[in-house]
Formats: sequence, C-alpha cells, structure tokens
Amino acid sequence: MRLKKMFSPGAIYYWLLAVFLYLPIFLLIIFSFNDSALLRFPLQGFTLQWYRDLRNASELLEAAGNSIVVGVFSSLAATVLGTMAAIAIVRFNFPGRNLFVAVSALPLVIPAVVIGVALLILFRQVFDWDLSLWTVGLGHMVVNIPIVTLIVGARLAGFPDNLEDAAMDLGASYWGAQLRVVLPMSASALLAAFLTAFTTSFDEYAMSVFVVGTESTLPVYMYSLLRFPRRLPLVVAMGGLIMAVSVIVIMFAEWLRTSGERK
Amino acid sequence: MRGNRKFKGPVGRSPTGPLNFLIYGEETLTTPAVHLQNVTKIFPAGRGTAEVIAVNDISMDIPQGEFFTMLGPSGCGKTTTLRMIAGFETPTRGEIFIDGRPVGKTPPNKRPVNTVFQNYALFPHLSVGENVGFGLRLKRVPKEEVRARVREALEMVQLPDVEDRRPNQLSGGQQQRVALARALINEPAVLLLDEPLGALDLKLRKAVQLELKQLQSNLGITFIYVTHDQEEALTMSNRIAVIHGGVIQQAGAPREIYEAPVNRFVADFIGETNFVTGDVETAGAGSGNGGDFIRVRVGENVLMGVAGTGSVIAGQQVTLAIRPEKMNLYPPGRMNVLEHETGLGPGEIARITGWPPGSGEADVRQYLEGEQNTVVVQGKVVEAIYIGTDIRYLVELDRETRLVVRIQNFGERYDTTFAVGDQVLVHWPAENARVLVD
Repeated sequence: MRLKKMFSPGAIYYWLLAVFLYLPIFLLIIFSFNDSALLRFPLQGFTLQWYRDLRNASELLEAAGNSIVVGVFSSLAATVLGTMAAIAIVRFNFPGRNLFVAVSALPLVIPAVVIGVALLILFRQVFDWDLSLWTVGLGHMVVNIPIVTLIVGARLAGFPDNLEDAAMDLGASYWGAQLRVVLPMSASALLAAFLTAFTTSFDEYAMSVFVVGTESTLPVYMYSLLRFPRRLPLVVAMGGLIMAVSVIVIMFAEWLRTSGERK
Repeated sequence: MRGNRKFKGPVGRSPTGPLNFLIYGEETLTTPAVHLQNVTKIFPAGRGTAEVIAVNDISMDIPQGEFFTMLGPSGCGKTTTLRMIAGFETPTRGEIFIDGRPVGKTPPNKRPVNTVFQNYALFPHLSVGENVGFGLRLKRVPKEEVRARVREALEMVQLPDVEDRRPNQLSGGQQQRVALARALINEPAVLLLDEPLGALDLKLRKAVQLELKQLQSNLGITFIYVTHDQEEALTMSNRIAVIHGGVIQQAGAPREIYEAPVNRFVADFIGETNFVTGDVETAGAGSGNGGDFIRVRVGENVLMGVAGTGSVIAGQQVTLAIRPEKMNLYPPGRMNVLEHETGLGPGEIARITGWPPGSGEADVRQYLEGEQNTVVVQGKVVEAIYIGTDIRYLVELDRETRLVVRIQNFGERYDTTFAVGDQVLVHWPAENARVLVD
C-alpha cells in the first residue's frame, strides 16, 4: 500500500522536481567541503580550507559588505514607499487607481535586464551620474517597491478599515490612528516585506551588472571570479554560506507573515 | 415605569395627547443634542457607478437624553447620516449641530460623540483593557485613573475579569459589550450605534436590546441607533425616524409609527400590512363619534377606514391599509353569544371568536353590524397556516381581494380555528384601517 503510494505518478513527479531543484544546491555544499580546486568527482576528502580562505578574500568580503549595505538601505526605502502605496491602494479610492495599481506592479513582470539597461540610460545619459552603489541601490529599490506593496497591501486588505475609524472616533488624529493601530497591526507584514526585499536585493545580478560602478555587489563580483579557475572553490564556499543565511532569513520572514495572519 | 425616566420626551404618547403640549414645551427650552439642518450627502459618480444621493435634505432634532432610532432598509441613507454625525463623512450640503455647535469642519476625533461600530471594530492587537482605555490614554488621563475607569466601564457592561484577554478570545456578545464600554468610557454627549446587534443570534439580541435600553435610561446619554430591524426599533426607541431613499418618511414615537403610518412605505416596512386599492365612495360618512370615516369600494365590497394623511374626494383611488392582527374572524350564521357578565357592555363583542354555549343565541352578522362604524364582510378561507403564537388565515373577499388575518392562538376551549374552504365573516372597527393616498 505504502509502496504503491510512493510510486504513484504524483509522487514520482514530486521527487523528480525535488531532485532537479535541490541536487545542484546539495552538490554545491558538498563541493564546498571538497579538498580539491577542481569541481569534479570523485571527491577528494573533507576540508574547511575554502571557508578559511574566505576570511582572507578581502575583495569578496567587501563585495558582500556592499551587498548588505545596499540591501538594507534599498529595502528600507522600498518598505516605506511601498507601504505608502499599499495604504493608498487599499484605503483610498482615487481617480486612476486601477492604472496606479497596474503601473506600480509593472517592475515585477519587466525582465530585470530591461530595467538594468533602462536605468543605465537614465543614470548616464539623462542625469549624467557616475555609477556607484547609489545607482545600484536605486535600481534595487525600484524592483522592491512592488514586492513590498503586494505583501503589505494583502495585510491591510485583511483587516477591516473601520478600525481606523474607531481609532479616530476615540480621539486619534489620522496619523495617530496610523501610528497606533495600522502600524502595529501590520508590523509583522512590514518586517516580512523588508526581509523579502532584502533577499531580492542581495541576489540581484541581471540588473545590477548594468548599473554597478567600481564597487561591486556580491553576485556581480562572484560572477567575475569565474574567470579565475583557481578561485572557483572560494565562490562555491561563499555560495554555501549565502545559502545557509538565506534559508534562515526566508524561513523567519515566512514565519512572521503567517503568524501575523493567524491573529 | 414612565415616572422613573430621568428625562422627558415625546414617548409613547400621540402628539395630540393632552400632556404633550407641556412635554414639548419643556423640550424646546433645551438645545437638542443633535440637530440636522437640510443635510444632503451626494456620492459623486465613479467609474461604472452613477451619482448616488444617499441623504436628501434631511432636517431633524434629536433631544437630549433620547433613544433615537434611524430605521430603514439597507442603502436608505441611515448609516451615511450616522457617519456624518460621527464625522467620517462630510455633508455635501447642510449643517450638523451637536450640542448647538456646528460641526461641519470638525474631524471625528474632536467631536463629543463616540461610536459602537458594526462588527465592533475592536483592535485585535490590544487587550480588552487596552481597547477600553484607548480613548482615555489618548486624552493623557493618568494611568491609575485609566485602570480604575476601565474596570468600572467593564463592570457597567457586566464583563469583569476579561481585561487581559484579547478580543478574539471573547464571544460575539462579549465583544459587543467591550465595544460599548470602549465608547461609553469617554462619556460622550451622544453615543452612535451602527447596527450593533446585527451579528448576534436572536435570543441574545433580545436580551441585549433590553440591557441597552436600561443602560441608556440610567446614563441619560443620547443614543442614536441605526437598524434595519423594525422590532428592535420599536422595542428600544423613544422615537423612530423611518428613512427610505435618503428621506425621512415619518418620525415619531414607536406607537405613532406603528398605529398611524403616513404612507404605504412606512405601513409596509413596520410590521405587516394588508393593502387593498379601491375608490372612495363617500368621504366623511358615519363620522358620528369624532372619527372621519371613509367608505372605500373595493371590488364587490364597501370597506371603511380613517384618513391617514391628506384629504380625499369621492371617486379618488386610495389604498386601504390594515394590519393582520387588527381584524377578527367569525363564523357566519347563528351562534351562542357570551352574556355580559364578562364585563362587556351591550352591543360589544368579545374578541374571542367562539362563544361558550348556553347563553342565548344571536345572528352573528347582525350582532357585529350593531356596532357603529364597523366593517363586516363575508369571505372564504383559502389558506390557514399554523405559526404557534397565531394562526394566519388568507381570506378571499372576492376574486381580486385577499386579506391576511392573524388570530391569536387562544387555546382549545373556544374553538377559534377555521379550515380552508370555510365561509367566515371578517370584522374590524373602521378606525383600525387607514386610508392612504399614494
């Protein structure tokens, strides 16, 4: 009986998909502990050499630092702007609201490469700015605003708008009501939105590569390392590390999102 | 009971009652709690929606200490009116006065009113105590005092010991009480209630209705209550405004609204009413004992009622409105008649349709017609529905005219029931029916 279930078409499909998704990640982690500069079987034995080397790869660490800084600030800005957009969409009925919703969701479906090229033209040709971490941050913010709007908007739509009325009825001003009722009730959604935006920013390559200046972000720098085969294990180790951190962050964000909804 | 009331208002008396002059006279000396002056609210047309006139030129006074109810079907403008008093909507035209002061430009947080919202709108992220103390904390009342008054308020609504719980851990009825305490703790001049009992089940709703009424008369705070439930309105209110299409159809004491509806909408919305259309035969005929009785030809019969509003002329088409419980059914033919040892005067008929035997005989029709200004018409029972407290009969007078008649379930000693197909006499004193001009 149980055997039959394990080999049903649905189960086979599930396992194939799981292998397809997770085998590469699994291999990455295996090779990050492999005692060889070459990424190939058979495995040569266990080592922490590559993780130790990470500590001395100053450019790589610098790139990681850049990514964290850009991620934090672009996500913060996206959270503020995206939340305001969510409030506008969910709570107010204004002319052109549907158009506003459509336009603000657009960055979700436009390929990042396109956004990258477009931003490059804007920054260089229109504004004549030098490319830097600022331009990368601005780009990330653009991509992250709709993500925040979606997450926070879903939360706002989930609780009745007469809660704000009630707060005002009891003596709070409009902003007082936002501060005392809307903000605390959507706090977990805000944090979840921020974390999701952060991981998106941390990952982002396709667009970043167009707008990055002399200081690189982590994905861009890692890709450039591929030109040096001897340093490949370093990239693999970094990949393993990022993987571990991402999983923790995403799980935390998801836990926040669902725990907020259950209330 | 009436003497216990802390305030005086035009309650339970018709406006023509002898004492009413005094009561109204006193009333005019104080400023009304809320005064609406030609208030209109128009929601502008949106995409795919036409412009909506939610409230159309409403003017009214709500005296201090009154339990005032706005009653009407959904979409009639009652909630919009309440929201304008609360400050969540701005009147398109007209002005609202609270305690004599115009509040048109005052935001909700600066008005001396508090609201009990539909579905309560309790803050889910705060405890019950924090919910109730919300308004006081905003006014920077010292912590100790807040705590004491929260406890007091919760005791007032009979909910001690739930301060530390979250609203979602309480039942619907308890949440409703918390919402009430949260509003009343701020000692508003006027408490606004927006269908606050809508989410409760029937038994609980009836109990809370009485409690609310009690609370209101103890506190003496003006309550403005919005509901679509006519029974709720009749039970609790000092005065009711029946609203339809953004317009007040009729305002008055519950008894007035029920007994003397001014138009077909009010008669239909409050309680159950039979409407029959006919032509005025003679106006003012038989006005022997003060009433202005109007004879109306309906199909083959001539029925009688008193004028509602406006005057009628012979030949005019009118609607006769009569409530099912204000008619009686009798078997035609010869029956034993109750002697007047029961306290009935000669010529009076017991409301009971059966009579105990052995006390003389009379022709029923003749006997009923002996009363002045009564209607007695022959009909046939075409439907009889047992509903426990009453039996509802559908009686056919002629092919076009049918009346619903409710006869109270008086028990089995006097056989007061009829079967489908029975010939019956339908009887009512003429003043029980009202002639409405459409």
